[in-house]
Amino acid sequence: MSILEFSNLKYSYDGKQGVLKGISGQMELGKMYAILGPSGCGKTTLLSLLGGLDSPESGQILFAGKDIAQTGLADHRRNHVSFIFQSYNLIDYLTPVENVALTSKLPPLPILERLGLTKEESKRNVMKLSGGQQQRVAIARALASEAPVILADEPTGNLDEDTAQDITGILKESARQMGKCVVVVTHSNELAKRADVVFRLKKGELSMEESK
Amino acid sequence: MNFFRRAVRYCWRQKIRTIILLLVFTLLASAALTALSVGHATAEGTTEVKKTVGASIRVEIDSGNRNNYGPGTENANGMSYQYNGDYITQDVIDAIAKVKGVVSYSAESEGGYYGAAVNFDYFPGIFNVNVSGYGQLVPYTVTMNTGLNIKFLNGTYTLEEGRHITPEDSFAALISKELAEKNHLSVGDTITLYSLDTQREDNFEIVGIFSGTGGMSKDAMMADGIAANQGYIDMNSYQKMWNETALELGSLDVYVDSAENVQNILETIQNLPEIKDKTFTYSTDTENFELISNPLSSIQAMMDTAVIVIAATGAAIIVLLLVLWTRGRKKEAGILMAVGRGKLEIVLQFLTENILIWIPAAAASLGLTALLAGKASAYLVSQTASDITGLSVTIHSADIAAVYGIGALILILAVLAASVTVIRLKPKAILTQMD
Repeated sequence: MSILEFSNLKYSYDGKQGVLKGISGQMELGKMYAILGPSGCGKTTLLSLLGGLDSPESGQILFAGKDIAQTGLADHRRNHVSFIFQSYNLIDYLTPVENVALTSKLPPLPILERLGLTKEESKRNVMKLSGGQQQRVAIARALASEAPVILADEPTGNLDEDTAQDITGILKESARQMGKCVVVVTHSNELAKRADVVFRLKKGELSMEESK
Repeated sequence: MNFFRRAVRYCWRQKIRTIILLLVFTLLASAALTALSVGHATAEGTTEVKKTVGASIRVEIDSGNRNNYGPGTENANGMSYQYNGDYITQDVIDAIAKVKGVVSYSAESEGGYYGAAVNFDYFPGIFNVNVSGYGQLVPYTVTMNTGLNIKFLNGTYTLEEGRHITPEDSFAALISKELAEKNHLSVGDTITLYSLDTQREDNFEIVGIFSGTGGMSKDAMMADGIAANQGYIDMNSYQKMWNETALELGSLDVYVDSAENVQNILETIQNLPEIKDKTFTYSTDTENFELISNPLSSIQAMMDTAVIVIAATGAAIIVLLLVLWTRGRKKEAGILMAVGRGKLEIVLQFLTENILIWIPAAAASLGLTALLAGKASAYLVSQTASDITGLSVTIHSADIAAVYGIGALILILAVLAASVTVIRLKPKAILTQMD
């Protein structure tokens, strides 16, 4: 059964017509999805719509069968989805522990340690960490949330190859072991290869291919 | 993590911003509170002036009317005429004192008595004349009530120890602090003065010591011109020195509570049975009231304007700072919205941060105002070129409530205005802009 379903989504902005031309798809728990496509094709826009950061021109997004426009976008963001951004988007005056605590009532330290941060690093100002460490904090914030859907926008875009591999592994593991639905927008074919399902977005149209 | 904990962490970790806001809030609140307090002090000062020197009526014997003089008698210096008219007696004074609107009365004669120091020393002048054989003669103001003397009313002189001379006193004196210190005199001690006019020595008990003569005698050439040497003695002793059996004054100053009602009160006094047919002349005087109240009124107007300017400028500064800083927190707002935090919660966080700074700023401003308000009022009074030398500035709880209440309101409006620039955007727009 799909956790996230979108149908006939249309979106335009700033005079750019047909960014999304009535696309449809569905996503399930326990799987990692990759959305591939050239720059400016609307990948991030699709992710924003799925996460309730923006509203489509027309079309419907259902979470567990309910229209998120009806249940409320803020409620959708708070309870159903969590985000991982390319630029990490951590709150700069908080520590990693406090950033994770934004989305979770559980103790943040175990999950940060599981993602490779030491206790000392977890209590340092988040801006004093390396890019890879900051992205791990962002992932920890997403994983610590009880939201079943993780939406990641180019999560490895700013990272070196080894760290990118690690992060991809963590996301994949989250889908498999924690039963989350992980949706990753990426340019990386390597990351896409490890996804269960790949959506390709081109000229406002969406096509889907299952990985083997 | 709730908004309050985030607000506390933000204030603690963004120290420079916190310190700048703390200083701005403290200075603005202090300035507003000082202006209000000084404004109120001047208002109270004006009310006090109205009570004490609202206006005065001078009752004088009609010594200018030839009909009040008997036939002239020849003497060595020429013709001498005796005043046969009425004098101001105790009965007259008692009747006047009972009139509604009369606050008090006094009679005084500046330089009415010249006394040489017998058992103490005056400050010497550059030139000293000893015509009495007792040393230099120094003028004293003969008065019924030093509390109504203009120098005490306008704050030039302040009673430091003891009490004022009152109409009941006899052989009482008020001397300056400087003279008391020079001669190691204190309240209760006795000074002996010699008068060349009465050619007698008299003992006066020091009932009070006043300050304020310092720096007033720069151009004095002789001891009688040195303000610290000059003092006050009571009216009764003066009468006794001249061996008069009953009080007979040439003039009486009657103080009334309202400059507006001075004419009505005068008419009432003139129609009193004890006075009606007496050979007195009357004049009214509102000069002292205006002399004191006009500078006070101008300070009060200045303070009223200052409060408005401070409130408007303060609001503008706070809005500007908060808008600048809040715009810089668009990304944070976007992140918080992305993790499901509502816009109201974000605004509440911004508001809490500023209230957390406002609370210690309010406390600090109270201390700063207590420290500076008195000095500020003294400075402002000194700039008015009036004879007033001081105002008693008290910080009223109503002023505190007004400043802190209006300050908090300005703060809330400033935070809302600043927040609008951020929360009106969709989270995607914010985060896309930031990326």
